Amino acid sequence: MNDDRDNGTMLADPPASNDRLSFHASDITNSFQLDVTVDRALPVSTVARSLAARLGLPDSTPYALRDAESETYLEEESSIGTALKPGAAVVLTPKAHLG
Amino acid sequence: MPAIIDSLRCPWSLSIVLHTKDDGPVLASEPVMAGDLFPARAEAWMEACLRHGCPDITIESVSMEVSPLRISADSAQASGLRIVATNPVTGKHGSVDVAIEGLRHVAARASRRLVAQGILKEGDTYVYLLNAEKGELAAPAETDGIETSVVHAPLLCPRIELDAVLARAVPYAGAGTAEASGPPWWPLLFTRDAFERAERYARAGEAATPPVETGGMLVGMTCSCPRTGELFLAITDVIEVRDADQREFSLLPSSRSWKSVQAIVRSMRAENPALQLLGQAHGHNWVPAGPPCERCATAAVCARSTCFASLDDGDFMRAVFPRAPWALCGIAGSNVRRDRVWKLYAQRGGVLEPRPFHLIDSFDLAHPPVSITPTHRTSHASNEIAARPVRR
Repeated sequence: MNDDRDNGTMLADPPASNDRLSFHASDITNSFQLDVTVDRALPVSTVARSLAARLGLPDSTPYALRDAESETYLEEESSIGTALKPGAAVVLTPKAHLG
Repeated sequence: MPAIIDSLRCPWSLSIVLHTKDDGPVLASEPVMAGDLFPARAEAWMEACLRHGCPDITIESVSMEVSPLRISADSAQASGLRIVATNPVTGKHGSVDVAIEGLRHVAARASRRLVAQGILKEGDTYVYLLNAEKGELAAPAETDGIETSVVHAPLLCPRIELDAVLARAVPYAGAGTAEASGPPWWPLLFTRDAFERAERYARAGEAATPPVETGGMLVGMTCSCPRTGELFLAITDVIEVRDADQREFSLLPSSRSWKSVQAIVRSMRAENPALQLLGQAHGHNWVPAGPPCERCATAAVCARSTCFASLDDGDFMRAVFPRAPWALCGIAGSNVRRDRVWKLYAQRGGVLEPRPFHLIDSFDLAHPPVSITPTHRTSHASNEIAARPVRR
């Protein structure tokens, strides 16, 4: 394996990783659709809460992000960057119960 | 301020103040947030636009103003709020008066915190009042690092002559029928098949030991009468809520429940794009508490039933249908006499109230011929709201 440093040259550092993630979100009734770009490091719970607030949804209800393809809620304490792939679609789902 | 409420003018700082039951010291002062008013705001939009032949005007394009309904000129205390919406096409106003009961969920939010802090105990009672002082409506702090572009799906309203439809319908007259009181409700029709299934899914939990809450999501169309301009609803289908956490006093849809419901709605909309989720029906299947009262032998109707819209039901409707003031909450229950009772609730003044409805044998778009309302597009460069076709 060539070691470029033997020749007095250095490989440039790889480009800085993209620290932003873009994805799509909608609500249960499909009344809203959002294009979202977030810092990858933000927790899923923070992103869900912020999206709900931006849509003027009730503050009293917790919201989760549900992957539109699978059946699963995204882990709330995971960073959004590890929980979602770029361009994914999620549904902003209220964790509300009838009573 | 969230972009979605930029058209709301509210030069008031609103708060719900909790006192001990005997009007003692203040327990807490909870700000009324912008999101707390969204359902009432949607109702004002409905009154100004949708009930007057303008179903293609989006809520975002309607300017609104909030003002307190003062108890007295020299007091900050208010008995409620008035939200006035202005139709941007006709210039006419539609308004909603929200009584303090319509802000009960704000008081409940404060009380939950007080219970968590040990200041109140579960079951303690309190009094809540509305204060309004000059200022700004509270809005949640924006989170750094998040950018959004919001697209609002247009409301598809088939134009159908209401008189022709009502001529084929009969008023529901079962136990629990709501009296027609107050301002006229927008008309509501249930196909017989959908009504039967709504009740069947709601009461399915009666068979469990102990009984549990079960239910279904209502599907149908919001329609506009071309002659009167009135908005009306037709419920034509019900999707059973499966894979839910079913308990004696609660029904919590799971992620699988919602995925299934949404998949079914998508397939329905492939045939008829005007179909949408319009509410839910569930069963309060527990047995009413207590023996019959002294009037039981003589009263024609037993009013002690499990058919009531609970605080949880209100929270659910606000969270799932925030932009749909026409969304329905059907409740199947029973009274102390063990009679089966059914009530249908809809939003009025920000509160779920029982309302009347009609039954119809069938409702489909082929008869009479209809047209789909054209898509209304708006764009707001400053906050990046733009309308485009809903992604399926």
